[in-house]
Amino acid sequence: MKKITSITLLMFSFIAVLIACSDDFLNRQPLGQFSEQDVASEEGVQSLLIGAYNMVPGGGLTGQTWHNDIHNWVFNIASDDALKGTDAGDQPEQSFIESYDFQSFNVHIRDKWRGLYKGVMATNNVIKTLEKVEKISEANKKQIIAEARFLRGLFHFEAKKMWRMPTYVGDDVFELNDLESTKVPNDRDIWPLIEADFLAAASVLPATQSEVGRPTSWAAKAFLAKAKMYQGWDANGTANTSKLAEAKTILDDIINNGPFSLTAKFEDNFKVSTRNNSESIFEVQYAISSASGDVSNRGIGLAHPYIDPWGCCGFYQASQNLVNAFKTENGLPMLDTFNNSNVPSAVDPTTKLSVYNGTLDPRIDHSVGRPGILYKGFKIYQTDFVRDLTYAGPFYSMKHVAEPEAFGQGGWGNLSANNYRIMRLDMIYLWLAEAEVELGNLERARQLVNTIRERATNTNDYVKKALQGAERNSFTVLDEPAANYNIALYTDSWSDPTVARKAVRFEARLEFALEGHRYFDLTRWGIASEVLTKYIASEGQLRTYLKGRNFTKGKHEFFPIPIEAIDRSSLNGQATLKQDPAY
Amino acid sequence: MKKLLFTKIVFVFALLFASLTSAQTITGNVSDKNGPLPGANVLVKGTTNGTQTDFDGNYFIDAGSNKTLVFSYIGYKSLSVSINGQTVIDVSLEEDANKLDEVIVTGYGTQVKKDLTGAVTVVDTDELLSVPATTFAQQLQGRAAGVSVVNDARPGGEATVRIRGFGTLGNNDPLYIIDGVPSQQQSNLNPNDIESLQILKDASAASIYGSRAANGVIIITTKKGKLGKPSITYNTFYGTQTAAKGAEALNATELGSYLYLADLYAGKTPSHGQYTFGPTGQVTIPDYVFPSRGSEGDAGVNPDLYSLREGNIYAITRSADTNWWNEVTQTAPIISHNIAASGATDMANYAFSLGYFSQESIMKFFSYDRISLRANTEFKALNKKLSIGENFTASFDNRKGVLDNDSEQSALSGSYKHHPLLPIYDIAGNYAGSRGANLGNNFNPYATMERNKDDRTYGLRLLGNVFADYEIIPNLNIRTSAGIDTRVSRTRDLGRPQPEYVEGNFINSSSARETYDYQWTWTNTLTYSKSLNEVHNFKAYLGTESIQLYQESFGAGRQRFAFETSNILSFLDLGDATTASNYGGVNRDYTLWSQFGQFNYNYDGKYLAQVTLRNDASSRFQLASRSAVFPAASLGWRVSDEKFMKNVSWIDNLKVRYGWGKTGNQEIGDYNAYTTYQSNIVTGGYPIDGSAGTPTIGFATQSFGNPKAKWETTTSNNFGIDLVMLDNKASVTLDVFSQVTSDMLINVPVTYTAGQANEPAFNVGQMTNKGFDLALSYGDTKGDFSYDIGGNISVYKNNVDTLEGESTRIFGQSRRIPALSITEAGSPIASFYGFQNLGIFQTQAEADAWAPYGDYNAPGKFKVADINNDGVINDDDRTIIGTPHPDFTYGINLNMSYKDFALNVFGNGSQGNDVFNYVRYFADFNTFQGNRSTRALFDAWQPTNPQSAPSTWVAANPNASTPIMDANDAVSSRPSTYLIEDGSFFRIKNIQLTYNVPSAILNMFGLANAQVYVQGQNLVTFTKYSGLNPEVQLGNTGDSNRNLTLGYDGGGQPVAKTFNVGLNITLK
Repeated sequence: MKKITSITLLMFSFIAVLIACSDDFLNRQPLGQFSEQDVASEEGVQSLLIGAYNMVPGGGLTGQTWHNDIHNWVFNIASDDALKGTDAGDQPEQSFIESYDFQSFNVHIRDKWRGLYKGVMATNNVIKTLEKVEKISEANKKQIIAEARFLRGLFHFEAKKMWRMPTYVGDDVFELNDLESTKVPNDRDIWPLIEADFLAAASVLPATQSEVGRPTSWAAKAFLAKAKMYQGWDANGTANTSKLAEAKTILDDIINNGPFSLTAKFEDNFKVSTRNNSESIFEVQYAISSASGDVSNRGIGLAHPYIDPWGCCGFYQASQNLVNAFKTENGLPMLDTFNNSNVPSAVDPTTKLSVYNGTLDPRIDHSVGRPGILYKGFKIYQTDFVRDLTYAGPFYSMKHVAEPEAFGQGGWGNLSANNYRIMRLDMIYLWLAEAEVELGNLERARQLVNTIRERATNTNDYVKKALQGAERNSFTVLDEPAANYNIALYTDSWSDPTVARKAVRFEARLEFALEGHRYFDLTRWGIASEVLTKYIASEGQLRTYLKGRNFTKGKHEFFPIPIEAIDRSSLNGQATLKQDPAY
Repeated sequence: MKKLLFTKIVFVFALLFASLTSAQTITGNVSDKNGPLPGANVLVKGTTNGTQTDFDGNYFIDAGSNKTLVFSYIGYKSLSVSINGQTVIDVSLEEDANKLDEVIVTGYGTQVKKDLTGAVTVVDTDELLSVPATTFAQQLQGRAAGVSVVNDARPGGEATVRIRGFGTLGNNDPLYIIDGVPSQQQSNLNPNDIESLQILKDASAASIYGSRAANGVIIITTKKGKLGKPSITYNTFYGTQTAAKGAEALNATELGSYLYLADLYAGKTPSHGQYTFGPTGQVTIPDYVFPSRGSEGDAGVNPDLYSLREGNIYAITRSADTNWWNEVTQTAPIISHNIAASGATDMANYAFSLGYFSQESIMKFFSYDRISLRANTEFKALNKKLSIGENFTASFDNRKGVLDNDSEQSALSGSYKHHPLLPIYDIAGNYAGSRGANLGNNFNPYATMERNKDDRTYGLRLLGNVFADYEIIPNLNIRTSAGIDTRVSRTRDLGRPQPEYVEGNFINSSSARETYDYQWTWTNTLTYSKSLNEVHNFKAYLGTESIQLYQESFGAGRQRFAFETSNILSFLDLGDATTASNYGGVNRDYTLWSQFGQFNYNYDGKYLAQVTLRNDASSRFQLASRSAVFPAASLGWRVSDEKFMKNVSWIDNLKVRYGWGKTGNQEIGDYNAYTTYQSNIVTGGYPIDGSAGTPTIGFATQSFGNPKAKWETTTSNNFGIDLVMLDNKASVTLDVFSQVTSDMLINVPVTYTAGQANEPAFNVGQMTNKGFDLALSYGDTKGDFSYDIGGNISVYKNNVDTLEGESTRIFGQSRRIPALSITEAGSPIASFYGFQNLGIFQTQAEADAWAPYGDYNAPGKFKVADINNDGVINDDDRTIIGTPHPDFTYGINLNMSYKDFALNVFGNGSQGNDVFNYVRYFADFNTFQGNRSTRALFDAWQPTNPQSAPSTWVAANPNASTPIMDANDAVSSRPSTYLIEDGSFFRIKNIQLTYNVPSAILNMFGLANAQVYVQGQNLVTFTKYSGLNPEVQLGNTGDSNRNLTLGYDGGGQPVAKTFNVGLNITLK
């Protein structure tokens, strides 16, 4: 009996020991991850801020790496500049965007929303976590908040371009551990909040930054001006001159007092080797190493020609309409008649060089791949660059493609460190020109446009003619222009605001072709419906899948709010987000 | 010597108390029809006084002369004999088809089958072994009522097991208990080692496992040595497998016709980069596809121009008419050898086995091998009061090659998508790619498999326990068991360049990944049983258990190896060190600490009751909600033992049971409570300093935390009837159940404005499963002929009752199409979601009269239902269009034997479930360039007057099921009822003819027993489903939300038709 007792005692002492240590045994703190405490230091918050910058290029989401790309090529295919490209079945969600079939369940629209608000969250988290940091100077604190607010403004700005009524989430509501805290209704105009962020950033940020990726006060001012330019016209295209006057003040300040100058060559805005140049006001930075993933310009990786050395994937082709826009008459754009005849894609059967002899703006061959013309120094462009010639035609986008010297430094040849120049001086000039037109200063507008055109006349910047070698990739460059380039300044004074307006806007189209701005420019000018309706009619002759598509005024200027965003915004059984009434 | 002493003492006692108790020593022999039965139990009824027979079946026991002896042996009918003064009692036991006296492992203890009060299914291991498979779980398919199994047909593939439907939105995998060691893994066990398999289906049975039992528990006991002389057995089979069904792809000319018509009907002038079309669509195939549409004699096809190197890719390729399915499939062997030795004395038992299993896939260059070793031993000491022992298995397996299910670029998908104009090789004998015009962007399916043939995933698993059991006083036992389940997995992935591929490159690479995990379990129990007055039988145990699980992984890779042979590419040292990459981290980390107890009472075997209680504390929950108690109770009534039933002669056994209980689920990830950050370049880095090569590292949220998560609880009610009748010929087991899961834990979709990180589990909503499981069997013997037929049917109805909190609608996976499943209150989990097609528009007038759907409506296009009747078709018209849940699943098993021959036929099926056939998205619609299905051409709506304006089209085939071919159509492929198919099937899984070698022949070879058999597997499948296999996998096993997309066929390896010959022998 004694033995039984002792064994039983032994067993219960085992149990007692286990219970005693069970709190320790059961307390598992996360291993292999950083905790909230770890990041609540100055270094930690600086790293959180870097994490917020990471969202600027638009990657950084699980599940996809390109729908939210900052180049906005994914949505610019709804403009008259670009086609989806590739083949009919590739990414139907892209086809739906291209053909104005905007559904709230489109995952590309959804992921834009996801990515932007993930960026917003990261900036708010910087500001809130900073509150917990004790050992930090006031100056550093202000700098961090200013940069975070700049980024928060930028993300919300992107959202405001996409949706008629996006929501705004600030650090006043944000709580990291209360996932419902960010369920803010989309029931207010968020422009004032976006402007407030840029204004606050501009007042704190320095005029120069030792690290070139960080925004300066000039960058903040430029985005503030851009925000005002986006409020410059109503849905019918009527100018809001007071907003434009506000913009003008800032734009003048940047031109007159900023440290920026146009680069000698237009092309320098689209090459890796000339990143962060004198024209740059703010660039989205990319780096390419064997492990750099989403900050290596992956988001536009699909938009590379369907031929070696890229191979993938053939998205983002140029429209015939855009190519035609580069035609010139006496060196000037054909504002009304440019699309009456097509710039052909045909090549001479023997030389394989372009047979077109009409005059062209030289910027065309820095913007669009055309048969018979050397493509960014890689090889002579032919229709084997495109995936399905009969589907999306013979032309291809080019500006984002890294030059050959910078090719192939990462695992995938389509990755590059070719920064996206999201804010640069030529934009400032042309926005100012837009404002001056509406404010009645037509000659000032002409002068600004001419500044831009002047740069394009640099013959050193012309694409050179190249002759096809024996192998597909070999070629010889001649010391003569690749095409019949002819560009001139507007020498006659401008007196008709309608013509001036048209000329300024046309210049923006040529200068920023295929950089992801065109669709949003059309919508902010309030002319998307008239321009795109014409475009569908003409381009649909060539791209039969566009036949019969419709751009509905008052609806398709903006995208529907993703249904999942609405579903997930539910608070006490009620969705806090409301769908755009147009959808 | 001991026995002699014992006998003497008994004798003395007998003398002393003879007058008082009439005690006497009884001897005898227990046998069955084949001879003596060693190890049979002999018990004095109503007492705990018992013994076992020795090697020769002999026993001694002392008992009062007015007592009754009960003889029992597993698998035999118990026999009760009144002593009535006899001193020698010899008995012969009969085999028991219904095994009512079988001892069932029901948790930390055992119960006799007839005393069970919970819903427990025991699966016959002989039946399991009749299906050659990698894991027992695959073999379980169709065998047990209430258990649904979906197989992954790849060699080495696991099976998805669901017990009684879907109890939660989160993890639905059952818990496996292997010799007392818990595990979530099926893999790597040798099915030949399994002695018995029990499935605890309802909470009253399973709640002893508390927080891990909500999805049911499968208890596996491995083979132990049996009393008697050593037994040595050898089992083997060899088989050949062929694909049961192939892809329905077009040939090169047919595809040309399709492309012509698709252009024509789209209003385009038909043209193609390769085909030439005659004026009425005659298809001409070019001589060469690279250069595109090249002709013999062209300057461009001069072989001297051929080049496939970096900087100059000009891989001249002839056209072909390739049937890719035939190129990537093969007749594949399957082999198994198993040697086992076992035996026992009354003081020790031992069992040892060595197994080898090897299976090649019907897809080329993919195979699976496994070697496993098992040793189970147990020793007794201290007058049999102490026993110590171990059960251990070590197994090593190797997956060779790569074969992805549900992958766009797998060889399987390529077999129906890759262009038939393409050959395997170009003119230089290198793999041909699709660089020519309009050939699509699929990998060369053959090259995909071949290039991965040297990839390996090695797995080593050690699983087992050591235990000690001590009888403190009679019937009071203390037991401790320490178990370990540890695994090491090593993958090497050789990246061979595919320069011919249109998106390919010349860079080779290699990566290695290693994962190790261990889980230890320490269990202590105290068991006591007692009978009072012969009729009050008590049995109880108390216990504690602690578990810890930890998993870590590490990986590395390099690129640019000098050579691509596998012995170079396999070792990272030989790659370019400047391209090195690596990673490492923690995958699993959790602890569980529990106390539990069970109490059983029965009155004379007639009235049965059981109460169970378990308290679990899990590291996955924060202190406030860390512990939870899971109670259960059940009652049983053996009606057939009642006096009033004595006259009902056709009923042999009738028991009714009722059970109630709560079980839990804690599969929410290990760190659910914590918000954490990660710092990798992809999600957090940015080159803030303008560096073109080195981003600055930043932090990004990795996981959101929910410290408030509490236990999910499933409350279940089960009512069951066990009926055996007609002289044990027929049996019926019926269980009716209802399970309500509350505080359902799910990784909820977080609002996008909160950012993005791993989503924590929240308690949201409630789900109900109701249904029944029915098992029937009937068997009889007529002379030399005997037969039995058994069947089971499982029915569950799932309903999401409420979803609250973060989200009221949860979408499943989205692919190239938006989410195809939805989970919302009022519908079953993961219902299919999309547009409802009402048919195909036959005329322009019909299309015009319908609610507009953009400009989609036209003759030959789907007529999409206007669900909300608002006069337009848009995304609000998506609705629930199908269910992945079957009306019922079932299995039927037939055994017949005549003299030395036996025939087994086994089939299983599923009825009434829908399958989302994603393969059709690629194969039937105007999607990527590449091949199309035969449906896309032959079943498509077409006009009789194609040259006329579409507005005047007249249907040529009004009953067409597939929409008109249209090169501009991007809308028809949206998720709609077209992609939903009836997934009902019935499959004859096994037909086996066995010859039992007669003893005359056996004696010649020194054999005790031998069987040879021939077997056909998966010979026939009855289904209307158009895909390769109606039995579709649940998505990726690692994904906690995989239950949100069910019944989705993204292309998986079809089952193989297999012919086997096998041999089982036992040495004398």
